[in-house]
Amino acid sequence: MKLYEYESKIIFKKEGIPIPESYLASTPDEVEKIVENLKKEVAIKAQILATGRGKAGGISFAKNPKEAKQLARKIFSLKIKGFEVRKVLVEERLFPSAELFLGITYDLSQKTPVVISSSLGGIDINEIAKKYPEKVFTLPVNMVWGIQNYQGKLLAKNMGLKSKDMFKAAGIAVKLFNIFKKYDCDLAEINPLILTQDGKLIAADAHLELEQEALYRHKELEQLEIPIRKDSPRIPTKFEIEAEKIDKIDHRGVAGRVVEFDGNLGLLIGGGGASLTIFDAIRYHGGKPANYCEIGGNPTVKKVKELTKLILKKPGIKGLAVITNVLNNTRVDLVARGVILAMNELDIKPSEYPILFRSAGAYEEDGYRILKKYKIKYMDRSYSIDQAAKAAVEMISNLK
Amino acid sequence: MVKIMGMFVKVEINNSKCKKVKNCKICEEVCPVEIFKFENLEENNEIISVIEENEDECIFCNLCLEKCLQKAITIKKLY
Ligand code: SF4
Ligand code: SF4
Repeated sequence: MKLYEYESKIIFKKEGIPIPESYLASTPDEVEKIVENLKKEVAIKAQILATGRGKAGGISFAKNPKEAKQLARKIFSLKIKGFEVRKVLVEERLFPSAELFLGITYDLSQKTPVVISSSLGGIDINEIAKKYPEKVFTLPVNMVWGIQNYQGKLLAKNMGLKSKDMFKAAGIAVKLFNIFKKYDCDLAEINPLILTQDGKLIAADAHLELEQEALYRHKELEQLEIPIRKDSPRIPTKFEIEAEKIDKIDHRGVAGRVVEFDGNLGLLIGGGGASLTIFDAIRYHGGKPANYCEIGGNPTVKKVKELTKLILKKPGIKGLAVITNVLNNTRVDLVARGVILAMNELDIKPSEYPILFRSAGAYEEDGYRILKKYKIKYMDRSYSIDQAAKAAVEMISNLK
Repeated sequence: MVKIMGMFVKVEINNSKCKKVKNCKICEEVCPVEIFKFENLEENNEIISVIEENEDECIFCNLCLEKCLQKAITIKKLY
């Protein structure tokens, strides 16, 4: 779950990372009032769940309340990367003598957290890494021990800091790691970490991403007024909400995680992360999927049945492709049962409906026996996913 | 309307055998997919039956067959 900057800063404040004096506002009038009280130059920053707001005009600096109100009005009217600006953060403006970078994430190849520091903050770290790879310092860290003091200093040194500043930055690195661990983050980033002209180190921006699967153990977020939500680039459709409900019928297996498309070929796909491959193969052969989905982890017959029903009832559907990788825990026979039960409930004759089944693995003999009995065309493991995808697309295009 | 339950699996219980041990309820306990339920057909006369809408969930784990003291359960594949 991505946090807004103001939410990340709530956590920073609680955990002792210095942040600028800042207030949240939802209207230009509120912004004006805040600046009146602050009596300082301010930065007004759009609160959205996407990076690159600076370039899109989502950050402005104002000297007085009137100017702040005007600029805020402009920011509130923006739509940045599809996000409307509903809140802005009003902060005392910082005057930097240096802008630095500090971030923590997982290195999946090393299977360990890595801390990254750089003397070039304020720009996207990927850009820095591309243009000035020598300026990016990466340090793998032991999850249990966390950042040791000497490592903190090493990170700070690579930000170009010396003496007192180095100690301060090392302290911030240690605290940032504590947050990373305590809140089950996938990403914790301060960009930029600002060294002000009067020698203070302050997190000007804050970016935390919490692991979705671990959110259940963070009841403290509610007390911090950080609502738990699902990251989504858009509002889910009715179809997707229904699918999610189906997946929640039972904790066993996955038969949900659906994305709606406007094509005519219904998809029931999955198996060891093959969904994307299968989806791509369908598209490659010119097919028009009506949906993306994932089935795996041996879902119950009922879940497969309900998901199949949902897909088959979707307007514009002309056929169904059930394609999976070679399965090792999801059972072919249970999937076949679910699909046939769904058709039966909808009064669809499996032998007359355009359906293609390609699956193999656990209980495949039983699965094939069922499919044969109901006269459903199927492919076994001697056919590749690609061949199955092609056949499914042809099945639809051959329809009269 | 076509039959919508029990298309693939038929679970049957021989009630007279089962009653001999006064409904031990072991099958209800071991079945991972909730095939069995106890019903009070007449008062104080509990009887085990099959939840038909769950029948097709049977995964052939055979736990019920192994644990039933009376060998009162039979399971048939309908394909
Ligand atoms: S075989 Fe297993 S799943 Fe089937 S009824 Fe018996 S205990 Fe339940
Ligand atoms: S395990 Fe056998 S004897 Fe015991 S209740 Fe079930 S059917 Fe009856």
